[in-house]
Amino acid sequence: MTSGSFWDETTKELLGWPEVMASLSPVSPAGLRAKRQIKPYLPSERSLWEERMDDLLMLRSALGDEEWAKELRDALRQLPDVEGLLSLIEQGATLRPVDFFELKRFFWQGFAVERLLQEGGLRFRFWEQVAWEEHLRRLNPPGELVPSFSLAELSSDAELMRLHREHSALNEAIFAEKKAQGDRLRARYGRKPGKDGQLVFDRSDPNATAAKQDQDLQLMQETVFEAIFQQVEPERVQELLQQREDKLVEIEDRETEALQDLVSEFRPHAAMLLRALSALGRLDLTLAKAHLANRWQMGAIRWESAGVPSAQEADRAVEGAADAGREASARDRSVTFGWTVEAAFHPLAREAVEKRGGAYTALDLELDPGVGLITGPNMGGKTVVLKTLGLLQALAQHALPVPARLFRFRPVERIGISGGDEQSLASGLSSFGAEMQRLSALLGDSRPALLLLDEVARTTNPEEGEALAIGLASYLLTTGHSALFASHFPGVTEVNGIQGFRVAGLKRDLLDRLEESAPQDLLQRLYSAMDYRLLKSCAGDVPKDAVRLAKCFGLPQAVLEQAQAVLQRKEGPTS
Amino acid sequence: MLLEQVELCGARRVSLVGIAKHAGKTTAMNELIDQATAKGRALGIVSIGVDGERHDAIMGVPKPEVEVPAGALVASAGDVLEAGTALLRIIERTGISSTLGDVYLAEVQEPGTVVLAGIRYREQVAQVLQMMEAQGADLCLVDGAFDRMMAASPQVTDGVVLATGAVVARTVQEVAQKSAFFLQRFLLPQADEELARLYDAAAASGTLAVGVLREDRLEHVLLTQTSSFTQNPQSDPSWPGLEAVRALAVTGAVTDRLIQMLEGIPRGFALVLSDATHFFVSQSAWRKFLRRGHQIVVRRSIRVYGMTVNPYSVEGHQLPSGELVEAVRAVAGDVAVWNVKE
Repeated sequence: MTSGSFWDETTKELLGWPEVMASLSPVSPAGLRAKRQIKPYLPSERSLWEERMDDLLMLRSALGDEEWAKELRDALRQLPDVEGLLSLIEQGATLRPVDFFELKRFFWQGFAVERLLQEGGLRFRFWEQVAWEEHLRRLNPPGELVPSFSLAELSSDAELMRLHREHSALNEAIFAEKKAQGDRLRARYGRKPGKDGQLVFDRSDPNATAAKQDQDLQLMQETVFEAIFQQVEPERVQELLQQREDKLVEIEDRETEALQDLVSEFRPHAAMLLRALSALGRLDLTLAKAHLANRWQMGAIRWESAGVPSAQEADRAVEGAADAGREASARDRSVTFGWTVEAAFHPLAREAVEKRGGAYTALDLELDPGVGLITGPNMGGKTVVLKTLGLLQALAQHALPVPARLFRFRPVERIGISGGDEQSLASGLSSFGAEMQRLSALLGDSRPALLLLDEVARTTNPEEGEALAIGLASYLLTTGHSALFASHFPGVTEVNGIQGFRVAGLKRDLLDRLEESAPQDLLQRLYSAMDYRLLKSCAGDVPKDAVRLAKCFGLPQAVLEQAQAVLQRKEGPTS
Repeated sequence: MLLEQVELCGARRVSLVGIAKHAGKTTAMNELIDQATAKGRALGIVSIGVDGERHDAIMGVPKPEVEVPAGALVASAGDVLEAGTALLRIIERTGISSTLGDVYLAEVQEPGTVVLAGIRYREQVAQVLQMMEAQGADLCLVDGAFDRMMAASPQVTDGVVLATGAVVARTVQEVAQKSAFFLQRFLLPQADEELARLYDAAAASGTLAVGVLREDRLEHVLLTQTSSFTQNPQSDPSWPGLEAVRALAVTGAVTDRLIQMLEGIPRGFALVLSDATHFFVSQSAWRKFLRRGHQIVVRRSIRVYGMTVNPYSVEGHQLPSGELVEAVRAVAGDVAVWNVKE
């Protein structure tokens, strides 16, 4: 973990952060930029966090008006990315007409968004007050506001339009002169030159002789058969062409001047417009958060500082919650300053369960600061519990919605997860070596952390592994960190001061039927036989279902009998 | 008159394809624009690949600019949108990006020249044409760069005007011969109902499909291979055998390589492809394939409104225009032929 950072890439990956963040979808480039700038709020940044959460809740409450919400999203989607343009304007650089078209679109969409916010009765502290209409009018022809842009149409630029008209008039005059010449030639010779300007006469044609004297024609080539003449550009046409060239130069000069005038006009406002763009990006991001909160049916989220929660904090927690009764009880419990999780889920885990047709068991958890230990059978979802808590913590500290009915959390300086299987081919370390290296890094930083430790030391010999796990749990209780452990080692449950939890485990009545399952149905039945609820537990409460599960998976009977005998010798018959 | 042919067919989208660079395609387009403007048609003008520059980027020779009338809609990239002399009103962003900047739709306020650039793919052309039509264009012209056949795809435009000229050869006969081959590609016959069904099956599965004759019916066998480039269809695990096959449908490009792979099949074999824009076979390979008694047909034929001939070559030589037009007419059958310079 980089010194001073909230988490490292391994933690992000193990918690499923990239995938979950992919479901947060702002629709404008400015919104995507705001998304890239998302950062966690540390314990000292509570007021900044609150401001963002208030914005989220305010916008979320307005989403009930679906048509309005769609209009807002559409307006943001069409918001162009003018950050680069505004920086250029700030420096006084010359822009192109298309750049002003983009700037006009920005004003157009900004204006539309502001009207929608007014319509929805929403006022954000971060919103930048911009005279949208005034700016729009600067890039609009006199009269009704239109989304198109033409430099020559600007009210301040009658000159440019005049020059273009004169240019068109010159074109028409050139065309007329050429046509007149063509008509003259047709009258003289019965036909006019082709598009290539050539007239070809047979040498025996008397016109060939006459044409040699014609001012409108020049003899190009005479073969034994033909005389080939080229139409001569009349002097008047040459004059007009020169005038047209001059006019084009004049137009170009005027255009450059007009573009520079526009830059000068907007330059004093550039910094403010950049802030407005960033505010629009923030709004877009907040809207995306609100949509995600709805998708996840988020309830209340509450930042728990050390100390007694204020009435205001308690009120924030109530906002958006579905069940007032549960909220009241949560408020009572909040004096413990730890974590309260109600009906939470990990979006990736839930999606996987639902994809296979299962019903996801949401997580309820009360964790005080200190160390919590989860025991439970294999495949009982212990890892998912750790990842869910880690993800919720990360989302909450980033002021993002959380997939939970209630999430009351204690902000930390950092979070870290050890997956227990960090074998790295690149470093040449064994699983155990890599895990110890990771643990050492996680523990080496003294800033208060939330640590999620999955089956610590499971890859070494069980005796030493258990000793290490006990040592680690005991040590963590003496630090300022909070940790949630998942472990199969019974000894860890005996550590004084540890908070015990266990996955409810296999439903006894279904377990017998599980053993009779056909191999192809086993996994499905196992899922339905497992009770994934997390319950409080006490010392020594470690479920022992491994041998029976092994039996379900078809291990040879002889192996199972031997295992059973060993267990009986050690501690009496298994349940 | 060029426009008359187009209007007779009720076309609203016309592409222009040249036999080679400098075949006179842009001149033909300017001619169509003039005629359409005179008749008050609301024009939309698009170009695939950079086109319309004052000087050709490769050979450095002057190149006709695209002259656009007032009221026409054009699509071009931001960096070159103002490079011509026409006065433009920018009306819409297309969302298409290019190396020359984002592509915009603009309306011509005062006539002049434009540089049309920034559109490279068939889907982009289709999108821009749709936007132009939504803005009121009732005749859209698509100028395809010399190596861009895609504009002629029947899924994008209603038909094509072809441009040929002295640039491809030094003698009248040679130009006529090359023009005939060029035209024949576009006149590939349309698949009958049975072969069309085979092609549709291939398109639906995204693989090559083989037609096997069983009790007077062409039964479809889908191959596993999706491209005709990589592997000989005869080595596909689902290939039913030389004697059984009567047809092969290919959704992608058809090249000499594929044609040569299929030469050994018993006579009477048919190859079905999407349309002429997917046909990249040399004259000699094509000739040999037909000589074997096979046929090549397309699922969708392309309507050819006419062919223009340019007697001038960018290399400096000029062919007698009357003779050249007559020679090209002689090989063009029912397709109308004009001298683009007259």
